[in-house]
This record gives sequence, structure tokens and C-alpha cells, in this order.
Amino acid sequence: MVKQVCDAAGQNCHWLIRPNQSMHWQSAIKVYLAIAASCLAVGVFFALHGFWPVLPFAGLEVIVLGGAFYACMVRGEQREIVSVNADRLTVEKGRRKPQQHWECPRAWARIKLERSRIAWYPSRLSVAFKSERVEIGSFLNEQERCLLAAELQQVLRHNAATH
Amino acid sequence: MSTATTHDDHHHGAPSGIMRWITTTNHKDIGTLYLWFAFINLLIGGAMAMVIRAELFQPGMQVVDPNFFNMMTTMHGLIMIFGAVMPGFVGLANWQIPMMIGAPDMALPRMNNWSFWILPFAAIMLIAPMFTGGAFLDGQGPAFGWTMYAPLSLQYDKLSFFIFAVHMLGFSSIMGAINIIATILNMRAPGMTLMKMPLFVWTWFITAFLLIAVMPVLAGAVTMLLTDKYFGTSFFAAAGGGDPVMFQHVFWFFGHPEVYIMILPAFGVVSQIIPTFARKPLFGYSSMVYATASIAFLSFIVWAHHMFTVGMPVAGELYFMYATVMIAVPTAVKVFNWMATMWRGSMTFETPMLWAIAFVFLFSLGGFTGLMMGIAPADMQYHDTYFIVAHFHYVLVTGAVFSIIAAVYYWLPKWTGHMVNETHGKIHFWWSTISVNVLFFPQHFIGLAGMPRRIPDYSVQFADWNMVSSIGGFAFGLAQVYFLFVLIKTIKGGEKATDQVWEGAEGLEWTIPSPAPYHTFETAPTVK
Repeated sequence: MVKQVCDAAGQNCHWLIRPNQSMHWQSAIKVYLAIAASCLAVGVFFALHGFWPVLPFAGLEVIVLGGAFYACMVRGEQREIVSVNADRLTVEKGRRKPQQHWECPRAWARIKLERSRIAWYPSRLSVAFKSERVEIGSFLNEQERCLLAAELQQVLRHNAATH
Repeated sequence: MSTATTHDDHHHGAPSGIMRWITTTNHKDIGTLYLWFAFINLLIGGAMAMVIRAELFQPGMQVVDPNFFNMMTTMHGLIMIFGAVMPGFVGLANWQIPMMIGAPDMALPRMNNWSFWILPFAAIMLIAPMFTGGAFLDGQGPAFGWTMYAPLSLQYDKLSFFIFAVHMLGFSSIMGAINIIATILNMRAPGMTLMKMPLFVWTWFITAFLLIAVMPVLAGAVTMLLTDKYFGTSFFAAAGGGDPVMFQHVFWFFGHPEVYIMILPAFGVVSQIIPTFARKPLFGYSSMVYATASIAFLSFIVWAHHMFTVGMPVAGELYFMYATVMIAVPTAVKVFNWMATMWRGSMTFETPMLWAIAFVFLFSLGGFTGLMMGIAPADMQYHDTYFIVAHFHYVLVTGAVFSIIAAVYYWLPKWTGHMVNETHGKIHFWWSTISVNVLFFPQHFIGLAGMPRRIPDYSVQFADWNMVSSIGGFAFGLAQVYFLFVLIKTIKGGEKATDQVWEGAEGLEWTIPSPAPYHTFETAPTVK
């Protein structure tokens, strides 16, 4: 999901890019506890009847499930902020706070939207400067990524035209 | 704060050739892998069924020896369940769930890759002992039935090999289930509330819960077999104070929900297809969801109906009988809802709809014989006869397999961009539907007449219907080779499919171009 904020002149723009997340931490914890409880209940039931080897497998599964849920939720908190001002383009990435930072001169920044040669694969959007490039919006739907690329290109082109 | 990870500014192409398929994390690639894996296993398991039917063509021993026959029945069951039907449905889930809920991919793409790539190795491990004897196929594979009952299975020399394969299959299923739950819960497009999800997504969601709940039981059961065999424990060995009947309880606690794992997604498929070709919304959507959940819940508390003859207390028999028969209620809700959806609809009978209607009719038939066997005193007569072989093949072949085939015909234009040739599809349908009934319907008669299952030889009074059944079997097997021809022909070319493909199709997957391209969701998914 992409949220764009620009000033009136369209010179300074920010894009907040985040993955779509239809479940929040609280719901995730509730669902996880419900599944874990039912899974462990089955394991305990068999353990009480003497068939204890079911329980470690149930426990292992609950751990893997927890890890998977945690990974999904953490990934859902990833944020990318692309900022364009009068002379710099900045990309910040992080979870809860900026953890990675990259910037380049606005005039030299290029937006690249590469289609994969394999039809089923998603495209990749990146901001490039000289031989470096930073990928952005890898977690977006294709439509959102294409739209973001168009918006970024439009703002950068606007810059080129006004200077 | 660190510098954001940068890459050299050159083309980052996806790997090509075989490495593309080994390293892929793309849900469409992995769905394709699952579906081809399932089809290959369908042919392998089918070839084993042909061996079985060739041996049973006439009374007496003609083709294979008894141990080899037992090996064929065991491997046929295992391969069809774990190699064909389950991967088939997981393949459909991989392809369709992200598209149906408006997600870019599965929630855990790498785990998705592992889930698949465990499978071929597990399948090889499962099949490999068949080739380990002195002569080609001289019968070293497991020959104790897919249910692996102790103490018979404990006599098998290569049990550890077998158990390792089952563990791998289980891990694969669990990872697949976790992925599906995480995807459905966390990656639905804005506006797609749970009660707006397509029925196929709902049924898979519930199936994934079933998988998570029961797979540890299977893992525990086979591990106890392993320790009984190699580590001197006595979980199921009567000589050491164990109880072989308890293996059956533990196994069927897994095994009965497993049956629903193989049929709930089929309900989902049919619930997508029928409204499309009846050009009406699905009748009773909410009741379909609740019926699916009820069936899933009931599947946990009916396991001992597989073991009415082991000598349970009468109270136990009565409980399991009543609980079993109760499953007919939510199942009937589904069948009546499908019928109500078709009622006064603008019906057309394209190939997917034909398969779906055949599913409703023939699955119901299998359901009715299930009801017969759910009645404990009657089951004393039917138990371990060909009647039950007929029952579960009606449920699994004309139920699960027919629904997978229906799904392939329904979604293949979306996947390939080409319409299936209707004449070819209909030839496949009628050929399969007639032959499958010639194959399995007579098995009701010979079962009721008393022919036991899992035997390579039989009394002469069963000869005629066995011959008919075998002829049906060979014809049905050939029909699936014809299906391969239809698939390849459609993949290679054909009439161009439109985005919506079918006039009455509704849902997010039909809003994107055919074939489903890299730019999934060119227009923003909207959920009404």
C-alpha cells in the first residue's frame, strides 16, 4: 500500500510504502493461541493415554507455527519512505524506526521498473544512481508498484522540467 | 542506521532452466510444480491400480504373486493420497488463493518452496524399497496396507525407510498448511472480510486447520512404530504390555480428518464452479461456511467408525455411530445448496460444469454408502469387503479426483491463456464418468456378496463383476492418459481466453488477464 504526500508546488514529496496486512498483532496472537491450544490439547490427550510421542511433534509444530506467524507480522511492519525534495532523493527502510538510509542527488536519480522475462514473475522497482540501485516496494501488488513507479517518474520529470 | 542494501545496476534476471523450478518462490510456479507432481503420481498410482485390476480380472493367480499384490494395494493407497490428491489440492491452493484474495504471493514463499521440494524426495523414499530386491520389482516394498496397522507393519524389514518418508510427507503438509493460514489471514485485499472470501479459500482455510491438528498424530503414530521396531518399546506390542488396537485408534484419529482434508477443498472447487455455470450466486453462502466448519469439527470425533469390528463396548459403538451419522446433516446442507444454486439458473454445460455435476451426484452416492457403513450393526457385515472399496473410491475418485479435474478445466484458461477444446474435454468427461462407474459400481455388489478387500484371489462366484470392474478400470486409466493429451494440447495453444473466461465467472481472479501475468492485478482489486 502506498500513501503519497506532496507540497502544493509538487516539489517535495514523500511516499510511505508498506505491505498490505489484513491481520493485526492482537488477532494474530489470538489465532495462534487458539491453534496452539487445540494442537497441544490433542498431544496432551494422547500423552495422558500413554502415547507421549505425539506431544513433542505437536510442540514442534506449534513452535514452527509461531515462527511463521511472527515472521509474517514482522514483515507486515516493514516500512519504506521515499522522499524527494529540491535536490535529494532519499530512501529509508525500517521497522518501527528507520534502519537503513540511502540517498542520491535528485537530478541523477533514475526510476527503473524491470519486467521479468518470466511471465508469471513480478516486476522489480528500484531507484538507481550511478552503478547503485535500491529496490523498493518489493512487497506491493503489481498494480501498486506500477502506480508508484509512475508517480516517482512524474515527480522527477517535473523536477527536470522546472530546473 | 545503516546504508540501505544496494545492488549493482545491471539486469537481475530470474534463474532459468531447471534452477528456475528448484529455486522458485513464485506461487504460480510452485502451484504448477504441485499439479504436475500430482498428475505424475496419479499415473504411477493408477498404473498400480491397473496391476491390481489385471490380477483380479479372473479368479486365481495370473499376473503377480500375493506379496507383490499386497505391495501394490499399499503403494496405490499411499501414492494416491499423499502423492496425488493432497498435492493436487495444494497446487490449486497455491495457484488460486493469492489470486482470489488479492495477494501478491503466498505469505511465506521460501517455506512454500521447501514444502514442495520435500515431496519428490519423500515419494522416491516411499517407492524406492520396491526396487531394492534381487530382481526387478521382486516385492521389497511395504505390503501392509496404507493404514500401516501394527503388529503387521512391525514385521516389515525396511520400516525405518518408510517411516522417514511419511515424516517428510507430514512436514511438507504442515508447512503448506501454515503457509495457507498465514496467507489467508494476513494478505487479504482491503475489503475482503472473512465472510466475503470465495468458498474455495474458506474450505482450504478450514482444511489447513485440520492438517495442523492431525499431522502431529500421524508423526507420533509412526514414531511409536519405529521405537517399537528398533528401540524395544511396546506401545503396540502385546507381548510387552502394549495394545495393537490402540494403533488403530491413534491412526484413525489422524486418518478420518485426513479423509476430510481430501474432500473439503473439493467442496470449495464445486462451490466456485456451479454458480459460474448456473449464472446465480451460490445459494446459502454462510451456511456453506458453517457446514464446512461443522464437518471439520465432527471429523475429529468419529474416528472409531473405521474400527466397529475390533470389539468396542456397545456404548462406544453407539456413540461413534450417532456421531458419524450426524455428518450427513452439514453434508446435506452443502448438497442441497448446490442444487438450490442450480435451481432455475441459466445453466450451461461446459466441461468444468459437467465434472462438477458429476461430482455432486457421484459424491452423494459415495456419501450414502458411507451412511450405510456408519450404522454399526450393518457395518459388521460390510467391514473389510469390497463394499467399502466401492464407497471410498466413490468419495475419493468421483469426489476428490473429479473435483481436481473440474478445477483444472475451470482455471486452465486463466493459467495458460488458452481455452480447452470443449469436444476434447467432453470426450474426457464422458469416457471417465462411464468407465469409473463400470469400475466401481459392481464392487458394491461383490462386496455385499461377501468378497473381502485386499485379496489377490477370490471365489468364482465373484468372477463376472470383477471382470466388468477390471474392464472399467482399464478404460478409466486410459481416459486419464487422454487427459494428459488434452492438457498438453491446451498448454501449447488453442482459442485465446478472455480475462473473464466464463460468462458467469465472478471473483478477483477473473479480473486479471489470461494467462495470469506478472502484473497480477493491473487494476486495483475491489471487493464488493
